[in-house]
Amino acid sequence: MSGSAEILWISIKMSDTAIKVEGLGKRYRIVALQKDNRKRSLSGRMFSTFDYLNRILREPTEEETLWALRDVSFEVKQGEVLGIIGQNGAGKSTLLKLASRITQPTAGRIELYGRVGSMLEVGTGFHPELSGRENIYVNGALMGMTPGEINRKFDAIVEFSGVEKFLDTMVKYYSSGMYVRLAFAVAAQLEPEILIIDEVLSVGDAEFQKKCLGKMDEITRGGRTILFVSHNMVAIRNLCPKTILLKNGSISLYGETNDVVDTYLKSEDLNVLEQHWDKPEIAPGNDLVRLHRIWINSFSQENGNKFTRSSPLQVGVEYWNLTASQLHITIHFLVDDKIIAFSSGSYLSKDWENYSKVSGLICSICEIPAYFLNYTRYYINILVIRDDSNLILKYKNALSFEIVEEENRGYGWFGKRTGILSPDLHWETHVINGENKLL
Amino acid sequence: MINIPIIPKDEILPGGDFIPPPVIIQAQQGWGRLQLKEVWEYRPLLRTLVIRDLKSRYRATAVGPFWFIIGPFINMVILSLVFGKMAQFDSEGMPYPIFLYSATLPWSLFANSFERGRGSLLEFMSWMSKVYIPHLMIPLISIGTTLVEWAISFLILLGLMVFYQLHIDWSIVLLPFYMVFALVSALSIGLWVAPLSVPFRDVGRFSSYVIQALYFLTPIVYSSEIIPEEWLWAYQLNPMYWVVEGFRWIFLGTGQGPQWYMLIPVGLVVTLLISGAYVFERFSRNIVDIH
Repeated sequence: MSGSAEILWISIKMSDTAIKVEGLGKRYRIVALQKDNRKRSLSGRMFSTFDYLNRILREPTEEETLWALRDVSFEVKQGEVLGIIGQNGAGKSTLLKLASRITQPTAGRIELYGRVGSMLEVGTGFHPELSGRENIYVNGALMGMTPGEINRKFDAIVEFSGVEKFLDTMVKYYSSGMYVRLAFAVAAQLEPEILIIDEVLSVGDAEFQKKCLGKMDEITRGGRTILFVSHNMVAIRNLCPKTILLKNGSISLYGETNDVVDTYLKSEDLNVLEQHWDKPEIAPGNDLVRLHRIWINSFSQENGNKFTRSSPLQVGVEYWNLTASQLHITIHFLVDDKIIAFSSGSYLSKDWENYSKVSGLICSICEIPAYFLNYTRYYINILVIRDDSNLILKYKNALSFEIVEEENRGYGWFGKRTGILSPDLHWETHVINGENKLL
Repeated sequence: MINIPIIPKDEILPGGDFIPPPVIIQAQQGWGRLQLKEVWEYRPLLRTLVIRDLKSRYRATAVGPFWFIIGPFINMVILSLVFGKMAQFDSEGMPYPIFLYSATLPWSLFANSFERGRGSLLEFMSWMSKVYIPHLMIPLISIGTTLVEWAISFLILLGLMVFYQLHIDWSIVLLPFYMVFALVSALSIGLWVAPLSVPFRDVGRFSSYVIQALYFLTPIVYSSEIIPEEWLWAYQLNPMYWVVEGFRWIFLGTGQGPQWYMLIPVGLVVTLLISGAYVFERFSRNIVDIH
């Protein structure tokens, strides 16, 4: 029986498959929220204690279940990088969770040929109160490695991560950059045959990202396999020859990355690009002002409804000025729903005095120049101001849009640029002294 | 027979590692396999995590591991004052402090292992939802930590032995048996309670009271000699009766050594252990989703 391992290995080598997924499905039970207790009778409230028991024990009804993943099949060859894209809730994380054995599928199967290292979240398995050194051993053990195996790779991990100075510091004092560097170093250097990576390139500096990409390339050339989930289309295009697009838990498209990404970018999204109200009575507002129509559009239509940095945008606000009072519109552009990136007011319009006190339907249009916003989602709040200083209407989350990446920016930086805006400012660089020596 | 060339191990993978057989992930219906082999393969994790657990427990304490001496010692002093001095409990001719401690020591091994084990799934939940750990490993990690801490509190007993000038005889060879018996008893009920106490926190809470009741149903603060003859058979169904009596038998020369009747609680614990392992496997399978 001494040759059994080798025989097995040969059969794997011949089939060349690293991951095989067949008819995979995962059904979740949606736990209904507690019903409003105030509307119940006293006896109803007393028996509600047992509702929980009842809900958990009986078979879930159709409405109480959700197929997060349904009938998914694909195969990944050894040495391949497979990209997985899709909107939030499309089933990407569920797929990765199943492949890393965190939870079991409801239907179908996955075959994994080799040890799996997964990085589902930054610093997965790190204990904040242990040092970087101790965490390397814990993470290694979580991948099923012996301390001896980890010892052999320890120096390489430390060198790759660049945190040698802080090895004996508790990781809770690490910056997010150091955290992700160490996590990636552990996952990559411990050399699992299959590496599962979920959104790592969103953190860390440009230099480290380059290093990660280089390492991932090296990993695949060494015959190892990577499943790579990202929202970053440029990274997906560069790293993955093939990509799966998930939609509502199923594979909507599987093929050459460029085709899949193009299709994804044209598909529906979370944008709210227009709202309008036909009658003043139903529109947001009050006795002084009512909104009629708000909209945003891009001058370029080639990417469908996607907004890119390279084309300017227009935001329009049409409103009824009901009492001929002096009104102007201010628009807040927010990121993350909370932070105001910038704001601008319609009093900047040309010949503003001529329109400010006219009653009737008014339209103000604001233009946002190209190469000004960052790659992120923006939300718009509309404010109406009376007599230059009194806020009379605030309409929150009126519109929402996302700036997406359409081009490879040429140098090795795939993450968001730092900041909530990313204006291309005017720069000039010239040589003061061409000689290669100090002044 | 096809002749398959045998490949030198170093050529199998660049790292020279052995390729494990494929892992098949699929839905398991009903009662699954225990995958004990996998638990065994993950044993380096057990060691690393026990060390991690201990280290993080001592962080930010002034005296660190000494707490595992101070805690039981204070407990012994209080109970000795209440039951030994004030209530004047009979201690089979032994000084009450060592009479008590020789019983609370094995009891704490059982009770702490159980308490830690039954909460282990909740404790490790944030990990389990991010990385794969064989689930059966988790109560073992908790028990491993308890065992290390317990070994420290064992020093008190040795100290008391020296203080009261008692000697150890050949019966000490049975000590490992009693320790394993206490641990396995804790594990066997812990396996039943741990997965059920995730969706139903009530189970965990209730089990604490059961353990508290069991504490007084075991001859710990009192001597087994005061147990009425006609009820002795019922007392002796409790595995901890034998562990506590066994410790006294080993260290004090009183108590009760092994008897044939003991096979009944042993059989009971083994049954609970095997069934518990399957219950644990069955109910912890998709526990990450419930949480």
